[in-house]
Amino acid sequence: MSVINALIVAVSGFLIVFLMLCLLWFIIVMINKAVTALEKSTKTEAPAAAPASASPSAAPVKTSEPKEEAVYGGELALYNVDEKTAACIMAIISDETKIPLSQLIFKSIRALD
Amino acid sequence: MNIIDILIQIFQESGFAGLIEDPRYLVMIIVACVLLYLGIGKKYEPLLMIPIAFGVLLANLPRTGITEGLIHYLSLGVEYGIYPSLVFLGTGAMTDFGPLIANPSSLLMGAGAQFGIFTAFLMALVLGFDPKVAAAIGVIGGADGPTAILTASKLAMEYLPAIAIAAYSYMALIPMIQPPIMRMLTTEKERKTVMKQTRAVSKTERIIFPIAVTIFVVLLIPDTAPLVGLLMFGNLLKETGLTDRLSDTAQNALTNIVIIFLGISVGAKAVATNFLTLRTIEIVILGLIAFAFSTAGGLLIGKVMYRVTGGKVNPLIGSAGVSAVPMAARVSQIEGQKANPNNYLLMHAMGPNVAGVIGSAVAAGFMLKMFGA
Repeated sequence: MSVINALIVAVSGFLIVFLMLCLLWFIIVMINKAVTALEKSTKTEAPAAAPASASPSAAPVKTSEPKEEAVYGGELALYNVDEKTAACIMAIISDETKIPLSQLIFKSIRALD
Repeated sequence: MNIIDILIQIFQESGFAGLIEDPRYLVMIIVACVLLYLGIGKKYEPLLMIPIAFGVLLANLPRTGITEGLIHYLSLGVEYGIYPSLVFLGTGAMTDFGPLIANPSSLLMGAGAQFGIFTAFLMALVLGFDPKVAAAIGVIGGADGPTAILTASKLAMEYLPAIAIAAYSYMALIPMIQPPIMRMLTTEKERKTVMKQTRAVSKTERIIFPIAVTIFVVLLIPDTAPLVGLLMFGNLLKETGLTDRLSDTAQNALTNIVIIFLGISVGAKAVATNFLTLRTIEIVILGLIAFAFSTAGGLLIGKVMYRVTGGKVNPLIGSAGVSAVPMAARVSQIEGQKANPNNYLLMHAMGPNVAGVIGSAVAAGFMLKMFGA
């Protein structure tokens, strides 16, 4: 393999990796936008359906179940609490309640002064 | 016939006589013992180092015939690229792509950290390696054992043990290899950068992600299917929440079984006659260079992102782009905390870290496309 060919292979390989991962970046952003739009539309549909069912003349309307939104541990909102303290709090709660950390979901931890 | 004749006959047919006949096997037994010490005593990637070392030991005990029987059949899983793909299935089931989905720009650092693959490839060519072998050596820089093994099994079977041992040794040595490079390429101010917490990732995004990645990546580079396809399948099993039993099997039982078979098979390929060569030493050195350049590549992209975002990205997370999950991310965390004790980079570094897994699979797929049959 000539030097030129070797360089072409190396540069194009590196470029392909970059392009592929940039494409994934784009895909992730698109997924996020699509999911957010879908969630917004289900949220607006739900309140709109509620007054309809409240009307005495209208037939009972079944509102669609709100989409399940799982929030995972490690992505909770911290207010004036550092991550180390938050980790300690979560561990203590898990220990006191005897519920494994994998089954607990923390949404936010706020420091009270 | 007398007792002396019987004893002499037993000795002549024993492995000891085989060692005297070809002392290189003795050297390989010592190499196996050193590797066992590294795995057990130093805890260098023990899950794989110990099976590999024991495979080396078994294959180099003369006159056992084990490499033609049991090991031969176990090795078929390596030759056909089955074990690395199954390890990726387990890896996918264990991996949380949340940090990557929350911060997709970290994909760039995962891409930058594949720089070492192509640098080592060029250096191997300069040293006179066949292009196929050079490609397999370069993939060591991806810091991903199964990927390196899969590529070597397709492109450079004769160098598979050296490549696998180099890859796993350096992965274990990441806490020693990376920090000096990280300190050399970043400033104190950059290392002190505290990153904001990433957004929450919905379950829907987590489920769509592996499906979308499989479709797009495999369609573009079909050779990545055994790695990316299985990695994403494993992740889908985890994220749906409906296949817990399958996810559990992929994460534990299956991965453990495959690792035993993979380690023994790879180690058993390191027979004295093909392992004790100058080429092995060259591969080990090239592997180190590949690791160093990959680390530097990730860090440099991290530095670019630090500038572009106006100091919101800590460049230290770039070095985690060299796959090696989660060891490389832990190194970023440790180095970040050394600069600023209030710095928690682990979750941020997991983004480039898992991006590196995809990046190295893509790079390996590219090499297979260019140099495969």
